[in-house]
Amino acid sequence: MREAMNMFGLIAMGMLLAAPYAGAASLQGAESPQSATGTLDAQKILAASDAVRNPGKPFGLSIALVEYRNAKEVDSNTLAIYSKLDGETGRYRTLVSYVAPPRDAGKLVLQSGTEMWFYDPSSEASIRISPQQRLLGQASTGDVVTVNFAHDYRAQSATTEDITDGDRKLRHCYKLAISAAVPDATYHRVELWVEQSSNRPVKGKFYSDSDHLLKTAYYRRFEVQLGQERPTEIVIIDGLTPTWVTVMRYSNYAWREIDDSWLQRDYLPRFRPQ
Amino acid sequence: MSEAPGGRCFERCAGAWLLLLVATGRMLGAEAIAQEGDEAALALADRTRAEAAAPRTCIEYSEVAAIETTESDGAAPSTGGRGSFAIRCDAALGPEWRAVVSDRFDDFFASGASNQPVNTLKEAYLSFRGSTELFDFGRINVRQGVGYAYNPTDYFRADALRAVISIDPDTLRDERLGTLMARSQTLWSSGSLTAVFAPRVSAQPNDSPLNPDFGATNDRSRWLVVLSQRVATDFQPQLLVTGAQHSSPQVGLDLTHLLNSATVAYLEYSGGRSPSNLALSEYEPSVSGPAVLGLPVSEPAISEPSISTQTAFRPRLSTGLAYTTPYKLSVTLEYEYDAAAPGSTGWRVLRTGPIPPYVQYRDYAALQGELATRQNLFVYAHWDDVLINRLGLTAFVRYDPYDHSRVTWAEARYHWEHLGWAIQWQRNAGDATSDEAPWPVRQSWLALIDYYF
Repeated sequence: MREAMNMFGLIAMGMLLAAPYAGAASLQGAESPQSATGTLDAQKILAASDAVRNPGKPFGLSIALVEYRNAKEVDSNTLAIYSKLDGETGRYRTLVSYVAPPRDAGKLVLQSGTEMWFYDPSSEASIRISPQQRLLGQASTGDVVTVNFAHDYRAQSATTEDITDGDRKLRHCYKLAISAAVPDATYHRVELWVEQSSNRPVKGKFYSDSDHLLKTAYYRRFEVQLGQERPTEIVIIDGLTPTWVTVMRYSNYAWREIDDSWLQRDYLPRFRPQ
Repeated sequence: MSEAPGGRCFERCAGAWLLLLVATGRMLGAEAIAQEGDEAALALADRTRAEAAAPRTCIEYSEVAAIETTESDGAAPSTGGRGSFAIRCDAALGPEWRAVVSDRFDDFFASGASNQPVNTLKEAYLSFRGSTELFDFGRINVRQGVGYAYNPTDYFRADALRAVISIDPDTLRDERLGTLMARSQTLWSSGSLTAVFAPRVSAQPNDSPLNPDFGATNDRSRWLVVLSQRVATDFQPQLLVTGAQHSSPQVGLDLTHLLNSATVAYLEYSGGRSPSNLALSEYEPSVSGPAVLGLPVSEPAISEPSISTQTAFRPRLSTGLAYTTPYKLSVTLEYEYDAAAPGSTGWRVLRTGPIPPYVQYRDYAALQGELATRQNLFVYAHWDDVLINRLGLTAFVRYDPYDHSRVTWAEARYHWEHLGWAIQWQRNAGDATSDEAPWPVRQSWLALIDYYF
């Protein structure tokens, strides 16, 4: 358990990054970000941005994470993610399986709403953990892409701005000012840049309750995965220590049959990677 | 000396412009620095070769530990250690079948004594998975309970430890024998029903190094039914009923609740008719007689209901709070209660009486995973990334309110990808027959190196 505590953050990263992918699928390509009066509808842009990243059905993927301090690699991990939208709550239920390093392999974290369980196969023990506990470890940086932005946050305004993206290309973007809409949202407020022509997320800045910059994220390496162009790499830069960098690379996208009955504590000892 | 209004305006405007320029300059400077930092991070990402590792069927690791123990009688420290190897394999045998094997081998050594090898076959079972039904057969480590250090609903914990390599609750959970059983589980979207039957195999434990020791875990037939049902958002209690040969059924309940984003509350309860732990330890109430080891002569016999062999309804519970700070420090406070264990008077009588029944009782309570006395307090803390990445500190204190004894345990642990090390320290405070500081260990140090292959 203890040795895996550090991984909660990594797992949070996996979950929170993966979760939005399942989220706003229903909005995919559906609505114009402009309201009837021609003004920008920030919430629609936010939902459309979620939709860019969201496979429309339950899915799985792998995330390889590499963490740097002062340009030196200090940690690396691999997670397998299984995610499914809960139709009742509009939030995500996600199962995260630790693949590497060997000392953590087989450990699981289940997140279903605010309910989180940690499972260790060596003891067959499931222990409930708090959302704060999930953020332990360096990869608290990881939950930059929180669970379903359009559900957990409200985009209050949208302006236009040209910025350089993670692949060093100039992008014409909407800049969204987003604030938490649910009590357990991870961040107090977020600035999100979304490309105007494609609704791709380009960059995000995430702030604490005291309005300090916690982290900056760049979405890049867009590739066609599960039928649509999606970011396959996110670069996270710590807000306080910019030399603390985490690179997260996504691969092995696949549609998965995820039964609702699997996403509960009692299934954890039975889970096997697909 | 009065100034023209225009002059004051010029001064004020100039000052304002200067401030604006400075502020703008600082903002631009900060922005430039931020962009520079972002570019450096992106360049780092460009060079990153991050590839997802493939899942492994087997995970193996090895440990070497050196131990120094100081006994309470002031004798010179004794030294010893162990070498250990553990493997856990989880192999798919087809789309519906899989096999799990988990084994640990320890070779204990001590100065002036011969080596003592112990093999612990933790799990070995076959599993079949239908759409929503699952069946398992073999030795399985079934662990129930939401408590941290005391788990009254962990009904298969008795006699499961072959080798105690640490008093850390985490380690005790990890390194134990499973039970030979057949298990079925039905799952639905908001709950599950699990049924377990563990047959009697042998009544005699076997300490031979390589023996699977089914006599320890399957000394009588037992059954367990667990119902789990979500009754509200974020609230899914577990109801348990268990029974065994020659024992009354016991009913258990496991509850957890998120109080706020940083605090989890838990309650674990088990109750049913049973003899006292003293009676089950085959202790015959004989509370007179000489004390040994320099302890005071026992007091006159006291009639203590908990020392009787009478069966009564005896609840057990473990409840607590786990709080996590924003600074990666987690603290757990736990209160533990066992009505089958002696209370203040019974404990005083037992520990100041003849030594053999006291030792017999202590052995029984330890093997069964029961409290030695009716109440205990437990505080546990874990702090990640202390000063440097990957360095973890863990400590706990267990306190007995009856004899005021306590055990304090602390660990510093660090690891790289494959290699890791740990230093552990344990200190027992109390007299030689107290709950938390029984003779002979007063203090111990352990240094450990592990390697995951």
